[in-house]
Amino acid sequence: MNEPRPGEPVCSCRDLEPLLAAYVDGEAPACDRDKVRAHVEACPCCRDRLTGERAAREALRAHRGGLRPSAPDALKARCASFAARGETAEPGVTAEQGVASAFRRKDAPPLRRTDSSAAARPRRHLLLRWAPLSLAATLLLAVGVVFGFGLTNKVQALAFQTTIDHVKCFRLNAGAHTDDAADAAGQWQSRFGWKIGVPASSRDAQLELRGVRRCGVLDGRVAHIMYSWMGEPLSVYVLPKQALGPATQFVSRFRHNSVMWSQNDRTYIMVTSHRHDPALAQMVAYVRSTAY
Amino acid sequence: MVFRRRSIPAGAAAPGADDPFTQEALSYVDSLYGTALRLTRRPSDAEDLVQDTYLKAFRAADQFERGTNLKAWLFTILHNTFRNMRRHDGRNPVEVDSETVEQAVDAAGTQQTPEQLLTRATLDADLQAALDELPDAFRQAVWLRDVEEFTYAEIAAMIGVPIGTVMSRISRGRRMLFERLSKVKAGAA
Repeated sequence: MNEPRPGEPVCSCRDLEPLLAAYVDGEAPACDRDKVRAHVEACPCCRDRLTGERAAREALRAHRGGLRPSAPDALKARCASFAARGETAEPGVTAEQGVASAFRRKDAPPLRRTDSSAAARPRRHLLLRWAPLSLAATLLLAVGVVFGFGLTNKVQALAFQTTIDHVKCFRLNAGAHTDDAADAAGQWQSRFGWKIGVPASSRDAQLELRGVRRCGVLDGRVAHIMYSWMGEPLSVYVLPKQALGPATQFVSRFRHNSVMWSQNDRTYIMVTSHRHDPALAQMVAYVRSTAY
Repeated sequence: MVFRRRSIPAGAAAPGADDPFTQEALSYVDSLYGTALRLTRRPSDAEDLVQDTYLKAFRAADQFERGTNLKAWLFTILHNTFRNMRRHDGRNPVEVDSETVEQAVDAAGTQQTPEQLLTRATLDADLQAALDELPDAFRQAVWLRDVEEFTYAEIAAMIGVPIGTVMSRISRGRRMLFERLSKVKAGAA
């Protein structure tokens, strides 16, 4: 690249660099324009650079329409539904009110996709939509609850966070379904880089796999495996670390039971509204034996 | 369009479907989706990103300041959400090895010949492919400027870098794009 010589404008190729975009866009101030013009007159390299930038800019602008795809109709419908349903973060709600309302909303119409409409999106992959923002309020709420109740105990805190996520998440992913547990586990590993075992559906146990999603709580590094068990939502959360001992621990809060344990460098938290009875113990045994 | 700054009481509904804020916000869904596709390169991730952008936007509608650019506000949410998504994925954030890129650009600059026929002769698919080959930071800057027509200041605020960096990325990104397109042309000739 040319360096300025005595008598030439005081502007090197490097000095020109920050001025080029605005010059090409026609937004450079007059003094910069003069500087660029004077330089490129004397510097064929920079002249070519400028020509290249202009050509790329014009190509992009000319092809704008073709480059910008239309959003899928189902996505448009979902986004519009958020406004229509008046989704709000409910500022000012207390932790206790929030928990109570979160559970009341369990019976409200789910925020479902328009699966039955013409705009429904074909199910292309088994990992469910991640919905951390829908859970932002939940997470704040969970943290509030943990501090509000003075719950420094890890087991209690895990139970609170996952229980609230469980309730919210089944609202958002109502209607999801998959039959292929192994494929869901494979997709998870290829996408997030760590292995999970996905216990398969079981007709005997009336357990139906609905999908796997990444959960927004606990640093967002949690797999959330969703099931329908005897017609009711059941969640299995998998953390990629050993946070607890191998023994099974039970926590009962807000009309839900959380069952948790660690095995194989993973921590499992099962959440269900099913009561603590032999059927639940059997389900825990099934998950323990088939999870990674 | 100018919006009143709104104040939503606790528990009250966010703007409804007929609200001008909602209508204008939803009119940018194609732009947001196209940008999300360029960022994530995966349609399913792009849909997630756009969906979460709208969820957050409608919830935070009361924070939107009148007289400011709603499209830029939505894009800022989109980019912040994308950064969080990447962080949670455990992937590296957008990283640019400036030295390597500079060398590549300088090397390209010595070989290229002026070519002004690109505009009419380039196919959408070629342009798309060439764009996708650019390093993330350059593709993002060029896209936001030349396709979405944001100002340098808006882009800087959106992606959280100084204006000078934005201008430099646009400039280099365009040159890299030109170089790639020139190669495509040379290969096709």
